[in-house]
Amino acid sequence: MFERILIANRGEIALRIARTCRELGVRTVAVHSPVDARAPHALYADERVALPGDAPAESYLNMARLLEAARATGAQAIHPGYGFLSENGDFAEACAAAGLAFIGPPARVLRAVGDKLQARRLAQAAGVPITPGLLEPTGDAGALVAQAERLGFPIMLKAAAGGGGKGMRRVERAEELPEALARAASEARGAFGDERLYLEKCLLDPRHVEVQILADQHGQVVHLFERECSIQRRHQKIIEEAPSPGVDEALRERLCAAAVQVARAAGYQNAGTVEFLLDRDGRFYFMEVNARLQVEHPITEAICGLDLVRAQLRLAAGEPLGLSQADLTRRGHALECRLYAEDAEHGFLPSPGRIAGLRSPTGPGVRFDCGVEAGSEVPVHYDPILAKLICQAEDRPAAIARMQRALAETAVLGVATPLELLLDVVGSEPFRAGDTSTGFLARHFADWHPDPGRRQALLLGWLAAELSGHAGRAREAAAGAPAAADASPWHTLGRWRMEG
Amino acid sequence: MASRTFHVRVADEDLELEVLEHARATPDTPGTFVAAISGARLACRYRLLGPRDQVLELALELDGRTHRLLVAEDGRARLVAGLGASLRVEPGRARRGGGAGREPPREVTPPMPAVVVAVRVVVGQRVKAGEPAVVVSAMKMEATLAAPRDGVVAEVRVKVGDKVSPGDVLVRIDADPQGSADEAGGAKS
Repeated sequence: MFERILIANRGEIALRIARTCRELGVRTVAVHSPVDARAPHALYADERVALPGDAPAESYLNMARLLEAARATGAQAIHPGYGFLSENGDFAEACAAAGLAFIGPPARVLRAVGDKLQARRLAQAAGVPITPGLLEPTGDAGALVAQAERLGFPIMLKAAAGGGGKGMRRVERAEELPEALARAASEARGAFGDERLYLEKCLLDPRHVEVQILADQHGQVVHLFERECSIQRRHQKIIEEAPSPGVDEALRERLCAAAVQVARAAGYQNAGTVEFLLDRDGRFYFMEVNARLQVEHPITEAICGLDLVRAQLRLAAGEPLGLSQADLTRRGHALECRLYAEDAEHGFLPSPGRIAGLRSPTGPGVRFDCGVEAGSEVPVHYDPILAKLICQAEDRPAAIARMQRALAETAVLGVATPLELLLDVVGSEPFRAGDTSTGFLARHFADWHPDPGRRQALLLGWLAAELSGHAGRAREAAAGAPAAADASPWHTLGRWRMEG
Repeated sequence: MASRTFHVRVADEDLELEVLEHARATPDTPGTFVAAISGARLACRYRLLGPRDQVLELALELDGRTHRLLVAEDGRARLVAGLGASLRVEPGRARRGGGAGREPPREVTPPMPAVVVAVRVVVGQRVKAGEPAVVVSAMKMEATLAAPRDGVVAEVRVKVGDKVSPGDVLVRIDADPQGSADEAGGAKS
């Protein structure tokens, strides 16, 4: 096992990785941008190295500086977390060249599955069904239009280099295609430096189901069952659960076997996820491989009783899996809700700022992986994930009740979070019935608004604070001073879209 | 005790809160009050559990249930969170007649700190409400900020790459001096 590793990430995932390292007796080196100098992830680690700028390219994507930091601190391995450099073949290769273990798949695998189209070809060759669409990327708009017309609308336009919901665009009608192509190509060029696109047919209202994989360097591959991640906004997951309410034992067996087939065909190593879309008739289609630790990995840890980061470190150190498929069982049900700094009432607008106050949920079956604390700045430069709330219980209804309880215990002041929307989603009839699909939020919660009853209770709480005399200048503020800021953003705001 | 009235603004709505009775909390006893909000009469009991780090924590008893709430200051506003929800309470104003015909704002301003990625208008250009004016990017997202009103672009204060914050005026749009003369021509083309 490694003595010291560098964690090339920030926020909740950097903290989560450092915690397992501490349990393993592995020393940790954090890296941080200037704006993150006092961030919890930077302060938790045993050592920290400052990176030159706030922009991702100068900090968490800065390969040269990260490698230099690893060398200077004597780290033997780098854990990339998720996002940033986690699926970057060049970085994995540079680590190897510098004599560092990359805690993830080798460059060869990252490149093979990171190219979404190569992954599609690979899955097809392995006998796993793929969604109808292109197998080769192209910068030729004419070819894309022709293919779209052949498949029929709606289609999903994807950046060859995209992933994690980024660089994806759903196109409903032929008329929208030229504009969508131009924007998607320009965004892909800006975000990934590669403007090539491909497209796939949109399945009607599918579930997003994915299978967790572990593979050692000696050819052994196991799966850790499925997760369902259908509750999404802008193609990004906000609620995940394991097991999937839409997967029965027979389907589970086929789905997990397909995931293992893909992993074997790719020569996969370390932890990874094979993503599928599941249609209403129980047919599933390979979507992509996420060659990293997933945001939602804790729900698998909850039902399988494993620490995936520990497994990752051991596998990266060359140790064998040490367990067979038959050793792996699952138990109970787990849900995860993601807390982003965003405003669910106003189109999930990002909401950077300072966390004025935070109360974490706790108690039986609750895990709160949180990267911020009271006083933390949520910078504008990075992905706005703040925390993940994971609840596990003996069955799905109990896990839902636990999640409702824990969400209501959570309080975040200073930045908007979708906490209340999450509460209403997990408490809704269709969610309770397990009637989930990727169109769930659009269908049931498009016009969501905060509950007036909760709002009234909070208003009474504000009043109690005023009346208590502890609310500082609150009284003068309430005394009827004119409202400020006539230039309101809400008047000029267009639609926010995911760009890359 | 005489009743006290608070005027607050919550989620773009002006509200009047009238406190009909109040017994202030002491370190040993909970406070109680009765308030009227939008015609509803509500009785509460509260205990203070703070302030700590500029955050006031309180336990509010309402309808036989106890909720733990956090309250903090944010400039002139107050932030309240609890029950899985959160609320921004701003100073309000007493209700006046006819707020409907308010003039739309002239300025384009971002909803959050962001970076300008495109400017779609030039000074002197005639625009219609809803037309794209500026595209900004933040946290890997792009947003198109639209002209808030019909008019003529009087000023463009930003260029691509500028960092901007809410309240910054990116573009100012004045009323069209020629009125809406060409409106009919442009409408249905």
